[in-house]
Amino acid sequence: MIGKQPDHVSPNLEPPPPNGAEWRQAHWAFIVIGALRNMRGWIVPLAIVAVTQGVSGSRADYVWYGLASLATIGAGGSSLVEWWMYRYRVTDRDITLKSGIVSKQERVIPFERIQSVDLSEAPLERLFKVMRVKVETGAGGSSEAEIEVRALNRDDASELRSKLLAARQRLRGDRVAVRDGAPIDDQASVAAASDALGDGQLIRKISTKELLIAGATSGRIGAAAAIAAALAQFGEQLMPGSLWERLPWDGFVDAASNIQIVLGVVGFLGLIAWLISIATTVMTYGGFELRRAGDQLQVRYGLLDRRRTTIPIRRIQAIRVIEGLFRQPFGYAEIRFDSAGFGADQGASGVLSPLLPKREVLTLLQETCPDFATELNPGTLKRLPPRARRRYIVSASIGWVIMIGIAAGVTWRFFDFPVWWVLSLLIVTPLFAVFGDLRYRDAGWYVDRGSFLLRWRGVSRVTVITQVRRLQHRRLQSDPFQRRSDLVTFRTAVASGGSLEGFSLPHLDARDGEVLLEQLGGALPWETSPRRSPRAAPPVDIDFGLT
Amino acid sequence: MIDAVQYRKGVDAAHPLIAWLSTSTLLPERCMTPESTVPATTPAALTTDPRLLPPREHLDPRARTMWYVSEAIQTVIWLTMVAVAAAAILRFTPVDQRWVILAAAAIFVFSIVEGVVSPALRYRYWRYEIRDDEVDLQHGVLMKTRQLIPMSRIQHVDTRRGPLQQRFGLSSVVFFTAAGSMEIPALSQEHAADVRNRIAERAKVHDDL
Repeated sequence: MIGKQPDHVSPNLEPPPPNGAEWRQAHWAFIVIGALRNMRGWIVPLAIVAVTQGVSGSRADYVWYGLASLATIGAGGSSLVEWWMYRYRVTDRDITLKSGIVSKQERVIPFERIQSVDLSEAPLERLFKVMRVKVETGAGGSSEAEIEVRALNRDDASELRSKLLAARQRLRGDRVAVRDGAPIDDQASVAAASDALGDGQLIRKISTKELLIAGATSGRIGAAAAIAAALAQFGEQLMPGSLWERLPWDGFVDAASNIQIVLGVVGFLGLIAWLISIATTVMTYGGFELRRAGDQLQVRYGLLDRRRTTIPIRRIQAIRVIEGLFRQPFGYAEIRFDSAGFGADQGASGVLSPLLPKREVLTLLQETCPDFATELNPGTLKRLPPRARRRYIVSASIGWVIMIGIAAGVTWRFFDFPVWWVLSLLIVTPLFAVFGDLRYRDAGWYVDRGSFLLRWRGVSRVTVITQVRRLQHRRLQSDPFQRRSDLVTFRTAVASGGSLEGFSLPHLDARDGEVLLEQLGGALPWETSPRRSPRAAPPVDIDFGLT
Repeated sequence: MIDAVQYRKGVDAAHPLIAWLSTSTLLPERCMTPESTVPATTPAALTTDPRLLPPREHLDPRARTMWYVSEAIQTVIWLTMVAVAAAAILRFTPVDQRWVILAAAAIFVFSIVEGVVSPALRYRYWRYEIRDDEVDLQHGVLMKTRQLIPMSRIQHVDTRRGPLQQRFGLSSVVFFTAAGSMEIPALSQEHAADVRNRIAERAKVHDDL
């Protein structure tokens, strides 16, 4: 069907270029990588057994090692056949991938449908100097919508990528294809486009200093603390009878005498966790580069696993400015984008800048996606009504109180452990309350000339910038408690797998919510005359202890 | 007392650390800024301020009957399961009989009341309206939801008929945006086809989302 399409783009290209329609094979590293991948399930246990048990020469040994070698040969063989059957072809209209031993698969993606072309390399692939090229369409979510060409050597991979992007651009008629109204020489246009696309204009690079700041303030300390705790467990096994046994693991009541040791250990583990979090951030975002080539953004980062992503700017649905708890005081934020049709598998959210001083956000947005360039702190940010404050405080702290209550109950009923130790954890409740208050203070929204800004806080303060025309729906929800004080929850969503659940802002004034519904869309039916049966007046003095 | 607005401005202009610290303390002033004491909080304003009108159209009245039937079926199945589980617990575990019977009785009463009450309420609160540029839905008894979907964001529209719906000559209209699907349940079949066509006609094909 595709073959019968009229060649509407470049009629003077009649026989397709000789190398355009060949079936090509992947690099031989495919076989090795594939074999290792096939074996990864059992190679490690096998190695461990081999090392610990050795070869005893018994009959069982022969059986086991025989089976193991058979499995190895099988893994290698199937990988070889897979490589043999794995072919891709790039014509002047589409890219096709053939694969499969038993069930054969042939998938075609026409150039017009290509939304993004990503290059990536896992450490193993890095070793062989090959890359994966992932071609995605906008159909979102399903793996039906993508082709992944594995194991191309780096030159081939980047050539393929620029070729695909250039062809896509040519077919879509985006600026490049037609000059002076006449179709231009095809080779030249591809060359021009791939020049433009090869390496865009550098917009932002991360400096070592910024990288370290990003790591130090990443707030990944939780995950890192888990690693540190695991290390501590390991350390316990390594040095029995030393410091670890002197720790008051069993005698919490005696803890006062050992409190310095406990604090010391906790502090030390915290420091380790912090260093780990810095190291992971440096690994992840090292060598970050943001470039712009025409209507595409190119993002590259990672020291070990180098990621390269290309995003068509017009597929960006929303920008998130995330001010982490440790970054906000220093005026730094992370900028992410939500983009449509990037496969829900990975989440459709990507990094636009891992760390950026807040005052530079506007400039960055103007340079990368001007549609979203909105002042981050508009003076007229609409806020929540004071009566919402209590709800924020209660909902932030109630979970902790209930959890401690249950824990205390269980302890009292089943364990021989002083209940007041558990109940004393309640003293951190005000911390949660303060968080609730922060959430109340930070929440707000702003609508102006087609752009829509929504701000809330979970732990970090998140400001989403999007456009009215990109909102897929608007929704007001209210539960009976909210109705009693005339509050609503506002929800909306953009077309992006990364934020399917959308954005929401709880406890707006009900009328503000209705006005917002209208501001974000067409004219709605309003009842302008005084109401014949006025709704139950909401309690006015609901903001407890504030006045 | 410092004027709250000026106070905020002063804070915002200061070092971010100061701004952050001062927002994290409980400032009563913040809650008294003119912008947050909107007139809507006074009962007088509420009665004169324009309020959003609910969507105009109701579902097909047969929806109520259909929901009664489906609730009845679901309740019977659910209560049978509960009864079997309760009997099993009584027979095979040493749990105190009184608690099991109490729990089962509570579930019975709750399900039956729910089955009797909810279809009527659900019907009463379900409204929709297909306007030129938007689809307007309102539904929910306890959790009330008002939802607006721009026509230009709708990607495709289906009508669906389950076995029970066919019995009652009803049909539901389901439409899809890039952020999920929404349903108008229980319209008469002709009306559903009409609504579907109206939506499909107005839902334009946009290249960007």
